[in-house]
Amino acid sequence: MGRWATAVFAFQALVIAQAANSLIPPSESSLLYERIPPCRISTVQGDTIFVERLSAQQPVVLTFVFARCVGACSPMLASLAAATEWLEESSSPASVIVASFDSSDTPSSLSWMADAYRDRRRWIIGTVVEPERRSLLRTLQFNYMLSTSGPTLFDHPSVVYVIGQGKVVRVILGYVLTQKALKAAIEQARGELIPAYPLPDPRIPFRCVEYDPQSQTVEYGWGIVVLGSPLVIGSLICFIVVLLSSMHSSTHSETSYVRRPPDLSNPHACSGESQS
Amino acid sequence: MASTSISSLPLFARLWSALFVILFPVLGLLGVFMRLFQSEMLPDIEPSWFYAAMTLHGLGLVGLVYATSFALLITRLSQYVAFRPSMLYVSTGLTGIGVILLVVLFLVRFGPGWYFLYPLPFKSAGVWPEWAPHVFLVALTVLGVAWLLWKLETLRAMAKSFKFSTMLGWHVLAGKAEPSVPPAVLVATICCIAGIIALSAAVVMLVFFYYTLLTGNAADALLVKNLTFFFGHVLINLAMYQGIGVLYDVFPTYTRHQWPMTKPMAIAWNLVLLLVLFAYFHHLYMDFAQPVAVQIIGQAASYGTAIPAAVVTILGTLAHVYRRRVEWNWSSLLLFFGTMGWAVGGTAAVIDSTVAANFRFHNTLWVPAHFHTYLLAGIVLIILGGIAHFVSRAREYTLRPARLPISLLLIGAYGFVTMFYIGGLTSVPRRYAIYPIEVAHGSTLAQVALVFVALIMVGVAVYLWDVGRLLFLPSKRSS
Ligand code: HEM
Ligand SMILES: [Cu+2]
Repeated sequence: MGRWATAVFAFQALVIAQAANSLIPPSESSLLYERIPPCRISTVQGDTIFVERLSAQQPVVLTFVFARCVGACSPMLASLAAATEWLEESSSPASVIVASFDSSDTPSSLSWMADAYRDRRRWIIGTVVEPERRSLLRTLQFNYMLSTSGPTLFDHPSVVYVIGQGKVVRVILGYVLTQKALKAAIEQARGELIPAYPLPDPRIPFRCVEYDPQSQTVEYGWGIVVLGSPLVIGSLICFIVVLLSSMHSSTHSETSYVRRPPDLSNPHACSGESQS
Repeated sequence: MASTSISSLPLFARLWSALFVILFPVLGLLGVFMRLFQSEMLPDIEPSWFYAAMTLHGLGLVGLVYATSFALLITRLSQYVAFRPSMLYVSTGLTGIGVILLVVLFLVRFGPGWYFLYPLPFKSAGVWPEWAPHVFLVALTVLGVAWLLWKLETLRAMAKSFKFSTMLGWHVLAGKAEPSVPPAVLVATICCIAGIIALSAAVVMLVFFYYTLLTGNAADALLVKNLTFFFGHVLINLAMYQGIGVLYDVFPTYTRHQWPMTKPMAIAWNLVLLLVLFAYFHHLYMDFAQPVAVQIIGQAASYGTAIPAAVVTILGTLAHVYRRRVEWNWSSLLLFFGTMGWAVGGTAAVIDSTVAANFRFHNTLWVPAHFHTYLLAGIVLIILGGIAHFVSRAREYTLRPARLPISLLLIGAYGFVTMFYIGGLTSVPRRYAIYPIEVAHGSTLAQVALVFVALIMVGVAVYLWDVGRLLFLPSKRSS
């Protein structure tokens, strides 16, 4: 049975690999500061929202779902709702757009979501107008495909884009969202400074600043001492050179110039250069 | 090992002068290439060539200006102290090797910018070959060793003839007039001490680069950035100071008036020594992880180094020409206007080193604007003036008062930097080969700048014909 099993296994691996290939999640580093294309959302309430115009005025949190999803969309929305609860009380504006990526969805097929999140004043739920839907998904590297798990279902990533002034500032992957991550991203979209520290790595010698992710505190490290070392080394070298050469010096009298200063009365007779 | 022999220094000065008058126009042409690129006049050339040109132009000119100003200063110092020429030529030879390696790197489009911010040299994005960072580190090491030897020899030579405290003018601070020490010695001492410390910082920085190169592990980018500017900022400042040393020594021959070491001068230069090592923090205002105290020190030290030394020198220069019969010629005019260029560029630099302004100007064209002012319209003019002085003395040649070509040079240089300043004020970022749509006016500014660069080229061409040519004529007397 060995050969046959190997062949089936290899075939399955191939299918999975291909599926994985077309489901490559968006990459934050390549999307950073990418301008989103002009696009409109038809909301469940029957309004039309211009996303890129809205995002020019306030931070926009954007995520893609589809109405019939039996997988990640529901828990992701619940997590997003919990992580953005503070926004409802916040005085600075920001919007959360939940848009369908499925071309067969209509605003009314999304109405169950609008009902579930009725209390969210800052949420906009709807479909993206064609053909802007395609260009938006393409720009944002949102890849999805028909699912192997059931008919007319999709496999798709759970991803939240945070957009400021029309440009992508953060891409958060996964369906578990934290308030801390979203808050930081929204503030960054407003143009505020959000410090980011590399995590501790024992292979990096002499760090200037050590960041402790547990306590979220910053401490100064040995790097500061290394930074001061040239001052000590250089001064020491100068000291030794001066000491050695003044020990061997014969002319160390209080008379200063070894050679005569330039003859200032005659500008054409100055300087030692021409005395070859 | 025989000390002395200043008779061989004319050759040394001539060698560096010749290198300067050849390499300055060549490296300057890379600048023209960059401005053409930014004007969108070279649509068929890969942008990676822009960055390679930017790197060689920046590193090459900073290095050239640093080395030539030091060579000229040494030539002046050789009137007062005895050098071992062998040491000077070893440094010169090593510098040559370093430069050849940099040119090779240009040919493979190595382009991390003139201060090669860690870890950029290792991130080629497929442009330069894998061996390029290795060669680059070797080049840096060779140049570092060369310049360290050079500074050590100069400090040694001076300490042999002068007492250390008088080299620093401390006797003047204490109110004594004797012994009289030439101001060039004071400036050279400051440059040697600060230079040796800065080159030590370069050595420590290189250790981290080699660590990454050899182990593949990362070093702390913030620490390496600190070390890079520690040495880079001091080095470029010293290039300027070395030119000022030459000015103190040469300019009086045209005004027939002594320029002795005074108390304000001694105070100002000691302040420079004390603070110049701490001014570089102004390059890291945007690095929020730096301690706040360090940011404050950065601004204070920037003001502390720039203002006293500039005021003493500029007022001194003005006092020298005010109501005096000055012998104006290629040399004195270039020295004079070079010093004024230092003042203008220095003012723009101090503005940028103010935290509140830096929030707006950081990495905009304001930065190339200010440093091209004190480099191109400052130190380069001083060096050209110094070379003119040297060559006219060596050849017993009377320089002409070249008012027209110098006017062209000045109009060209100030017009050229004005386009950078306008760019900075209107948010055009530096180091862009092609300007994005938001700052598309950057390419219009580049086009206008080219007109001014043409004026510079005419001025330089006349200088080369009038003065530079003399360097290459066979010697009258054997030297
Ligand atoms: C005709 C004269 C010159 C021209 C046309 C010129 C042009 C330029 C241009 C277009 C840039 C790039 C600016 C940008 O970031 O967009 C540049 C950068 C630079 N230039 Fe010049 N320049 C000239 C002379 C000089 C001189 C005399 C020096 C030094 C002594 C110098 C040192 C530098 C440095 C250090 C950089 C920065 C390179 C970097 O960012 O890595 N330039 N120059
Ligand atoms: Cu600096």
